[in-house]
Amino acid sequence: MSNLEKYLKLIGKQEEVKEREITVIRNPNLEKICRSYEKWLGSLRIERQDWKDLYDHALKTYSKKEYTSKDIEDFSVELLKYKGKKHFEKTGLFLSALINSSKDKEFTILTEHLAQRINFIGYCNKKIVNVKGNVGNYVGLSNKGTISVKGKIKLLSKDANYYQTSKIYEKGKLIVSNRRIMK
Amino acid sequence: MSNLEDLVYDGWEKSKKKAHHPCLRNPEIGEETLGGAYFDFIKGIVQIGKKHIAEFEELGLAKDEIIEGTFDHEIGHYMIFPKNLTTLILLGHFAEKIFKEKANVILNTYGDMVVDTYNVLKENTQKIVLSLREATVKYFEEKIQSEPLRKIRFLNLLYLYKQVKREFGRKIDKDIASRLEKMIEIDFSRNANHEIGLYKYGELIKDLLEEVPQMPGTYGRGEQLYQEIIKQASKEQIEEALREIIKKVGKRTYEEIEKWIRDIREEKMRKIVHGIGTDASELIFNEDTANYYRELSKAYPLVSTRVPRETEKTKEIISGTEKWRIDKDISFILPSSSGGRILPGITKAIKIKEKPRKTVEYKEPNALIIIDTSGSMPDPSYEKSYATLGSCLVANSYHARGNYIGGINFDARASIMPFTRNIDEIFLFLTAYKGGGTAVDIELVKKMLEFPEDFLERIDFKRIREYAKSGLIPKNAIRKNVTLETKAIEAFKDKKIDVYMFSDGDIANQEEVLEYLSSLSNLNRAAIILTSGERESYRAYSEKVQITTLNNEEDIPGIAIKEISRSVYD
Repeated sequence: MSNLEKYLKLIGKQEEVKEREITVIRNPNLEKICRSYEKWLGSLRIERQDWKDLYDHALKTYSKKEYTSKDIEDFSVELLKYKGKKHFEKTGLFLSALINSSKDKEFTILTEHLAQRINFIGYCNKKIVNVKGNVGNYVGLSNKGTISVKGKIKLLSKDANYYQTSKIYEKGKLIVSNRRIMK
Repeated sequence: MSNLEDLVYDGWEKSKKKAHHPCLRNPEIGEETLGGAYFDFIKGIVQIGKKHIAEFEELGLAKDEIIEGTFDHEIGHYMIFPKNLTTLILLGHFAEKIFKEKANVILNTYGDMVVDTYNVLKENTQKIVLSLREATVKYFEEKIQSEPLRKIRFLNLLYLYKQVKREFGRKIDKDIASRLEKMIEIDFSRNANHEIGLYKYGELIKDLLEEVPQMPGTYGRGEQLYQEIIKQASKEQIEEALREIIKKVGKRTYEEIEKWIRDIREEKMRKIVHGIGTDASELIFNEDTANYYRELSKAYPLVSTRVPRETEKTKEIISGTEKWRIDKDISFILPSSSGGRILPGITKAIKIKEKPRKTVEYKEPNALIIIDTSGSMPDPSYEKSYATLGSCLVANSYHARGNYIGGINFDARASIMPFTRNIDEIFLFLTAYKGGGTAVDIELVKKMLEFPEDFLERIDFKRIREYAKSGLIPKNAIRKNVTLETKAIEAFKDKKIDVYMFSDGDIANQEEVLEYLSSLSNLNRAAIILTSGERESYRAYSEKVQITTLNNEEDIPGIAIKEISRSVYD
């Protein structure tokens, strides 16, 4: 307390108001994922790494721990904190690493609140991924599972071989199924 | 003065004291004020309704308690949330995109929760905010025939109880209990990320709002809608808010917000002039992009100082006489030298000579901005390009000093903008993008994308080029083949210049360009700003040519401003 504050208190001109701390119950796993993500994002050197490297980096180094589908969904909400960060659009690789290393089978990713689209959602996916919102480029790269997007999708190629044995839905409509493109 | 007015002003003083006497005008008392009471952001006045006071009195609260509690809350909107037009615009736009017609209700309720949470945590406002919120729940139970709206009010009250560890005392239904569990995960504190909080809160209550007819304006007893605030705000207030917003969001979001505001205010978009004189037709101009960078650059400081500089001038002196010839000025003639007759070749005339002299003048050099817009550089119309921003900052500062700005925009070929002071032309030129001079290494991309073996034959090249332009192709897959023709710089030899060059490096004739710049007689200073770090070939080239290599593009604006300052003070 400064001398002025002490003096004001002494003459009764300043009263101390007690204030409580806000109670926010935070998911401890979410904090861990966020820290890992920050490290991953900060370590990206796109000039030297290709996407597989970036994915492996996320998978091996930071996503070793198994997170639940809820943890991952909560993390997708928190992504707002990182908007505008360099390489943010490559977040799909990190999300894919989290999903692929989780024991759960079905996941929800929320992107409707993000202005910037996320690329690489469902990279090497073998599970069921539901996306609420739009997705960026390279959705379903090396995908063998099912990806259902409630928003818009931009397909990389008209060659169905590229999507392997995956199923991709856009706004409830099947657009890619077992090497067939219906869009 | 009536008793009610005395009570209002007493309550006002008490609330102001708790908020450390904010600089606000006295409140206005109305009959049926919108929503009972509200903070008018445009006038900066709290409005309170007599009807609101009477209704809460019926619920068992004392008049002074209602008034003080209401003021604590409304001052909170000024001090805590949303506090300013910038936040209101950002969150209003965000909420409308996600929650559509429910946006107003969700944003207003969220704002109330941020203020109430702040007040409930403070010892001197806790009791009063809780009694007012308890009365609100009672009011809704008695007067509002909408189960979902009651639920939201009740949920909010339970959340405030949780914050002060107070038990409700009665059994809570399952749905409310599960929502409360989720609500406690939301951070309603004043410094929280409000977009995340608003999104989570909106998701939590939006299904309840499905059942409420006529959105917005039916929640509670009406609200001051954010659209109304935006509509009523002055042009200056909107411009000030936009200047803050442009620093916080990306190019696309900014453009969306700007359009959204203009739609609300029913204003037309500002358009700037078309077409400028350049030698290349492939330069793509975009007025919207030029407008964006013009606004963005206003968020950064101007270096507009002018310093006295030593300059070399000449003065005319009489150095003697010479024989007068027919082509010479007759006014210098000395007729006495030829007996009063004017005879060319015989009559003498005064000889004038120019003698150099040193003087001090406020003569700043002009700016020559050289910007690399080859395919390896980000497209300024697609994303925020810091190189383009840096060049715009340079242009702004030199323009403010009253100097001329010239430009070279190059990829494989260079386009020239001759010296001009037309700021519209300058921005249009600097934000134009070429995107050539690079090729994508398809073999490498193919490997990276793990394409099937025969994929290359059927690849969508157009799409690949699009990705390369948007920066999605890693740099090691981009082959750059760009040279800057030094001939282009020759067009700017007539004036003294400071050169600013923005590039990611890898220009084929880099040594030649640096050597050429160093040897320019009209060069004051050259600042080469390279955006891709870790290139050993770049160094401080000469006394006049300084090279800065950056690892992070976001540092460009700061470096550009530093370099402009150095041109003034060094």
